[in-house]
Amino acid sequence: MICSEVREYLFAFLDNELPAEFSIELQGHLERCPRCAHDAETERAVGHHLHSALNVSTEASRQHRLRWPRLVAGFAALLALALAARMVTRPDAETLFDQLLVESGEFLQRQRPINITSADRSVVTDWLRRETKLHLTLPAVEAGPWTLVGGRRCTLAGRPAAFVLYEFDDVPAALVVVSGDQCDVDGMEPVRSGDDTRWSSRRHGLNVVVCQRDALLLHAVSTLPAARLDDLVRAHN
Amino acid sequence: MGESKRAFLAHMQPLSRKLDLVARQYTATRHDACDLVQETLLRGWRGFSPDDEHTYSRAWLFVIMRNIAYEWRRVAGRRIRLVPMPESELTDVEAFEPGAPLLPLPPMDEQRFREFLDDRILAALDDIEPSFREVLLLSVAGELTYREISRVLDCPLGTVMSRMARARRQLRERLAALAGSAGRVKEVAR
Repeated sequence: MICSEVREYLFAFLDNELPAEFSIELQGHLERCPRCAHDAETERAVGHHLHSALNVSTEASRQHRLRWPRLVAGFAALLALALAARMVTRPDAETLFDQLLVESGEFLQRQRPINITSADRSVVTDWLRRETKLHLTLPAVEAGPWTLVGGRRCTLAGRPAAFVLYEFDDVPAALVVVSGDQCDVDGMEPVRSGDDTRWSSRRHGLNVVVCQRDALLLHAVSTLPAARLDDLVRAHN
Repeated sequence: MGESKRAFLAHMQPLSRKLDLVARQYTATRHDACDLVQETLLRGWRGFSPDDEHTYSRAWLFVIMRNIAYEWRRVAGRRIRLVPMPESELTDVEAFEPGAPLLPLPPMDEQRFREFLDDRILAALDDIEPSFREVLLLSVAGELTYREISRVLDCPLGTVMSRMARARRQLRERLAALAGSAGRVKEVAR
């Protein structure tokens, strides 16, 4: 079997639609030909993600309709303006904090998809741990009417990051977790409570509260007051 | 519960999630998707006879759904977003070199590739020719085999295989185009 024949039947092969004998022959070619094997692996990943995306988008859109009716247009407009300004003034948004603001804003505006939609903290925890390799445990958040919506994986400054989406009285808040033991706290106000230190800042209409725990940096980002975000971060300590 | 109703439910229930997923792709709004599933099940139930139960294939309800979606294209107030090209015009579009090299995607590490697919795959899917997209959706969302899809579309098995290959190639082309623009965006955003 030659490469052009493999490409002709690759999709039927991946869908298990070829006769067994032909399938074995094609598999044999893939084991010998790195280029065709790479094509097969890419197409497998595309098929897998398509299947997941169709299912997740269904769940996300269901959640969106149920839970986000009061996400006012003004909020989205405010964030859009803030982020546009950020992109214009800092086209080389290189630091983790800059990237975090951009990603969080887009996530809160639903311009970035939720990968896992569930209010079950163990489901979201398991998925994020598996996908990001971060040793993260979502708590039972009891500091007010917080609701878990879901999560997303991402990469910030080359590090795997977990985005967790919560709502407080229907206002969205992102908890962004990345590995690291040094907070980027330039220009941030320290907030001390017992032995624990957190930092807070308000940038471009978003409040951000940051703390470091073990080898993780936790950032709560939202239009909610910093005190609310502090509750959220402390619940994860 | 009557015997007829029990038999119908036994046939329909394993397909309900798949029918829902496919209906969302045929229609433009959640409301229309719900109506499409409901109308499909209603017509299926009306035409169902428990005596002929063994003659109902998995493709049966998808055939009904597709027929309704196509009827709705002519009904004001319904927005059907999957409008295939007439068969006569498809011949030219379908002509392609099946063994041609696949368009390469820009190199990216595994994590970045997964994030890219998460972000862009539905946009890429929406951009491919509807006749090819329909085959892909019946396979991925409906989880139908090629033979079952050929029953739904009432076309030869070879046509399904050819359209599936064309759909996947177009999807790859759209992804490659999106990866090019996404790369420029991410240089700014990341």
